Amino acid sequence: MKSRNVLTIFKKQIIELLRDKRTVFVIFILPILLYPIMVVGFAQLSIFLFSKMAEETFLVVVENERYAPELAGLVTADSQFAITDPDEPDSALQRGLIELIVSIPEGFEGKLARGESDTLRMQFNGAKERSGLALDRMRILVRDYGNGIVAQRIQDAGLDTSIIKPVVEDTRNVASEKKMGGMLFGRILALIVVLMVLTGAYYPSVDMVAGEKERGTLETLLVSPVGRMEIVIGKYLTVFVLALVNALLNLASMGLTIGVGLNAMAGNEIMSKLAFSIDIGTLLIILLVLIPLAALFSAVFLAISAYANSYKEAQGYLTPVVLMGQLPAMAALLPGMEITMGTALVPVMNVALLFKAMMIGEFDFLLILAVWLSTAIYAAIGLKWATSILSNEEALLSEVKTTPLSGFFERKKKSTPVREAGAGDALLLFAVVIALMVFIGVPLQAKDVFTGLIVTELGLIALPPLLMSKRLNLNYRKVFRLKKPNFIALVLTGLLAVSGAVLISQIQTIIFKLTGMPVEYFQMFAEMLDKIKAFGIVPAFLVIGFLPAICEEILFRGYILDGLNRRWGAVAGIVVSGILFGAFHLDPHRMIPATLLGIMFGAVVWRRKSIYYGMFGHLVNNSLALGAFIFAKAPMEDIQSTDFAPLWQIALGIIVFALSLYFLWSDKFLRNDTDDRVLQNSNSSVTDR
Amino acid sequence: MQKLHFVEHLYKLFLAKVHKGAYFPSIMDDKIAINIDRASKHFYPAKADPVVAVDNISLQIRKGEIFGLLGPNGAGKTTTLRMISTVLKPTSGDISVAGFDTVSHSDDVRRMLGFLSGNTGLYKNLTAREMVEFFGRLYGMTESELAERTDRIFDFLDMKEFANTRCDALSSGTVQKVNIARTVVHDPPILVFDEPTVGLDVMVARTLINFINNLRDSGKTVIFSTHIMREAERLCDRIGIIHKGRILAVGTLQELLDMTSTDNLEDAFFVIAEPEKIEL
Repeated sequence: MKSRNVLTIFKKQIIELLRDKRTVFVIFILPILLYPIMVVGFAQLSIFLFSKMAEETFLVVVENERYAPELAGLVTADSQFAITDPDEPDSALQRGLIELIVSIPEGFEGKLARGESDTLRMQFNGAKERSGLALDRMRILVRDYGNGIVAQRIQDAGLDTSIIKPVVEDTRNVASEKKMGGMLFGRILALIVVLMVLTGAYYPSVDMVAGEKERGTLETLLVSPVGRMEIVIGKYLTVFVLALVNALLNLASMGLTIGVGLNAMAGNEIMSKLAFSIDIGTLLIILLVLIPLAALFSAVFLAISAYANSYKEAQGYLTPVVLMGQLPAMAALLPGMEITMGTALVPVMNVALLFKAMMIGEFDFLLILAVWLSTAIYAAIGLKWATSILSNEEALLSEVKTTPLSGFFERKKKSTPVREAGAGDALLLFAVVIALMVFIGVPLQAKDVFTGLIVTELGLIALPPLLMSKRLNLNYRKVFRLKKPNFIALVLTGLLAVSGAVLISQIQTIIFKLTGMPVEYFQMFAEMLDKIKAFGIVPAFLVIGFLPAICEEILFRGYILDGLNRRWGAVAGIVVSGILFGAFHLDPHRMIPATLLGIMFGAVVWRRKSIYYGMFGHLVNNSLALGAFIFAKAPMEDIQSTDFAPLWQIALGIIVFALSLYFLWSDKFLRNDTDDRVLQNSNSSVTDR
Repeated sequence: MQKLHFVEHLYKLFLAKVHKGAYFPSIMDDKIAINIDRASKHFYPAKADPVVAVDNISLQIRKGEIFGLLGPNGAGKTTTLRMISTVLKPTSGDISVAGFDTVSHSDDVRRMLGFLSGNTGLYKNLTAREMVEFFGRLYGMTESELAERTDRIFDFLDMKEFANTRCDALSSGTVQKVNIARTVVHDPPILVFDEPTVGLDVMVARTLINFINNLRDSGKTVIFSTHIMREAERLCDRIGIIHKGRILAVGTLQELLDMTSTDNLEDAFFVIAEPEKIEL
């Protein structure tokens, strides 16, 4: 590799981009404008809102004013209330013409004066924000009024007011002004810096690979005597430098805005709460951490851009990636998310979390190092990916199509040979099903457990893999392993499921002992089961035992297992499909047991080449759990018990488990089964084509 | 003939050992500029069947000649020229340019070549001069060499007034001139033109044809592909007819006409490419 060529390419790219208005705006103008506008705008807005709120007047109707002249006097004296007297106060309140109706009962103040108490009715309109504000204000007024009466009564009784307030609170905030300001702004600024590096890398990487491919300039470059690596590094350096310059300008602009702008407003009472400062040291460390982050984004964007043949296509590929990159950065906004050795390993999120901590003046050298190193490692992996794609001759010429996930978007002609779905297809479908569950399944089940579960199982879990295999024109028999089961093997699977359930529940017990019992979780679980129990035994069996056994097996031991096996081999396929099955339950407490079950069923289905074993085992397992709950005398106590099963049960479980697994695995024992089925299977797959 | 091939192959292997992968057919025959030896190129698209774009072709292009590769769209012309210019690697077979192997010594090959195609584009944000100079630098020219050479080319192509105009503001005729300037900036001995007249208006196409004719006079070797019969008739010393990835015939215009007993290249092409249809 000649550095002279890299430099020539780099210089040319920079000149080109500097002459492009869009790049100049995004990378140079936007950061300079963004922070002053944001900070000043935010400050002005909040001052405006606060002052607006202070000026607000609420229209109040006071019914039977004559019974409480003193209270009415207080209301009239309050500048925020204006007493009015419409013809139909109730409908006026309904329509939002007035904010509040205060009804004073007969002889109100007279009663109070005699030491009695009485009810003051306040009607408000919960659908109107102003009405709520008026109510809050009025309650404060009434409380103060009431307190005044209490103080008077205590005094009249010859006592001291301390009698009703024996404990005097004295709260002191140890956080400095800087930390408090940092809390508020730090979160937002941390996010914005990360996003700006993202935008800085986005445009040049789209333009320099996909854009050049589209314009035909990349081929010109390829026929000149420069090495592929020289081209890749030249371009990579350009994206990297621009992303970094963008970040640097963002930081400078941010520092200046906060230093000059915010502190200038420090005199203001509201602004002084927001004011905080960032020192040069913090800025330098932030910059240092931004270097590997810019390197990471540059590599990933360049690599993805190489898949596209045009500018538009590249934007289509990159936009979801940018959104996905934003998600971990946004996690920094969540309360409770903090930088630890664990979160330091999560790409992008680690940087945002570290910045958030640094904005409030918290430094931990070890954490900074951890974030820097892990990001640098991700960047190195990304660069390796980018160079391997960009030095692929076919990716650089626009005629040769290489698109990720293309099978999903393009319809296959019926006449083309049956395609095999791979690991990518399996993972994609899993992601789709999870999205469907979260956005459709969970809300449906919250509305109505019974129909919700039926719709989820049939429509969201079983249907997608079936549709997908139709779309890809897959061989159903092969993918879903539709092979007639053998009776003895079914019995063995049943035994395996029962003994497996016993053993897995012991593992669950160990986990609970280690992590502590999640009591709330059990209550939630019990409530759900109670609802299901109310359906009656047969319908409960249908939605808990039967349907999941069929539908979830179609997805996990059918489509997903087949796709994963095809690319990753048997063991990895079975284990990963099991982990996905565990994750699919969307429940951290059931994750590990469900994963183990998934691996167990996956192994049997793979070995015996028939999905029906998975379905049967699943049915046995779920029915067992349901039965235990329905027929137990004190189900919640049983479930929550932290005791292990009796030793004989565990021992028996291990023996039965081992034996049934052995016989299920053994080809000698089930020889007839495999032999004639293989024959039938191959026949049917020929006719399928 | 077969025997000679075998001996040649052995000799090539020997030289390849001696020269670390490069072999020098020019040592054997200094009249050969480009030697294509049983080269094939297969593509493996993600979902479709494999495509054999170029199927075991052998071809020798002599120094100082204009060689035309004539064939319809999809015949394998572009793939052949891309293999010569090292952008694509042959799936099997060998190609050497001026004695350098296109795979093991691709940098040296590219230094010998100027490559122009109908769809090679310009950097829209660079001026015509910057564009040409950028490529000159990549060819390792010094700044003074470059300045002098660029002046000469811009003078010759009558495009001095556009030298400092950005490429995205140039007319299509001038764009092609900048492309030509870029192709010849390092004064390469061998020029590869892939359908250079596609999409050009008559005036610009004529300028380009004249330019290629001039190259012959200055002793350059030119290989160019086209599907336009008249261009091939006018320009080429020899013509190779390529169809469905195979070279079907090679010869001078007269040889091809004699071979097929026709009186124009178009008829000759169809007799050679699709004899079964001619008989009907």
